[in-house]
Amino acid sequence: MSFINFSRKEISFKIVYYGPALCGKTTNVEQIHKVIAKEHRGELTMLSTQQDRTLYFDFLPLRSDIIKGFTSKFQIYTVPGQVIYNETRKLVLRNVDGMVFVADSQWSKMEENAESFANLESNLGDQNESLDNLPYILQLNKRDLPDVAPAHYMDFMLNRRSVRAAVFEAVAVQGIGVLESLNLIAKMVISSFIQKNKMQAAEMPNEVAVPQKG
Amino acid sequence: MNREIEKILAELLEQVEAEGVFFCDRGGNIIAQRSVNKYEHTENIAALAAGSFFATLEMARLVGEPKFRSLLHQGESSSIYMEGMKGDLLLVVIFSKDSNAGLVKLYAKNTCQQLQQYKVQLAPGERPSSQILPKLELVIDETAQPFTNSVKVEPT
Repeated sequence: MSFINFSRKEISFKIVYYGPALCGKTTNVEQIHKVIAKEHRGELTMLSTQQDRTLYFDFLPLRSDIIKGFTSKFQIYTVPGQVIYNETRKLVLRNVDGMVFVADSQWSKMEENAESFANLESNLGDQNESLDNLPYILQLNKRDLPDVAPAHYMDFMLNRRSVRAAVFEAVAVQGIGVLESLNLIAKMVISSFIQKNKMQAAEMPNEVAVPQKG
Repeated sequence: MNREIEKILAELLEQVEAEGVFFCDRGGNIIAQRSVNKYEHTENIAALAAGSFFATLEMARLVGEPKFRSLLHQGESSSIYMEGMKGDLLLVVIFSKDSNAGLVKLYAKNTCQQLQQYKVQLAPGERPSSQILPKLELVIDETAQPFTNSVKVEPT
């Protein structure tokens, strides 16, 4: 949910990393935390089980000056990938502004990738949202492993909507493709927000946001 | 508007001798805050508070309750009290053992009623990002990247 705080000159966006269990969502966020300078990020919060499986969500706040005159704040979340945590995924997905779907490139994980993508579409549908309206990208992770499906096959399998998403190949554990994915989804989310803002301004050119008291 | 909200939060801070008071939305975005101590990770606190509070709403629904209005986490030296408001807004109060949970609940209820007046009017069912906005000229440098690598990551 993009949120503007006029007094603080901040615009907040929510980006969710989605995908099947153990695909590399948490690894992505850990790498982001590792490589981004301290002044542009906050503390990484990870709510996980003893086996380091995400239990609720991982959360990392980021800041950027990409929009002139405003601080762009990005709330980066990951969802738990295990099938039993679908209710939790729905909670984390609420009011999302953009998504990175992380797919596990191993042949043995193709079915889980497809199920997770269908689950994402379903959970968005429950919130009256759709991938047609929300910026998202596909990250094909674990490209370094020996038994991986070709990228074009995974693209064919996961990227068959009327508007195709950008695809990144990644080795998240080595940081490859991580920042590129983040930067693109961040710019897409901002562009989407600016576009909506322009459309609103065009519809109501003389309106001013006046918080209503009472 | 923000100054008025901060004044209300400051009043609550004083009344219950709290350590920190946050007014945030369902997404954990901080609308306003006042605190005695400088909390380093306020964004994380707000995100976790919102996450835990709105998770309990789902629990309430599953047990047949319309909602749980408030949530209290009691610690040995610090506690956190959260109260939900209409419009998916949340008041979070961090207080020490020098204060009292009952007192916090009492004054927080009053603070919530005051804060409720500052809700921006939205069309029913609309997401907050579609609130009526001033004509903003938002400019983004298309060639710049939002984030850069500050560390050389060596392949393992």
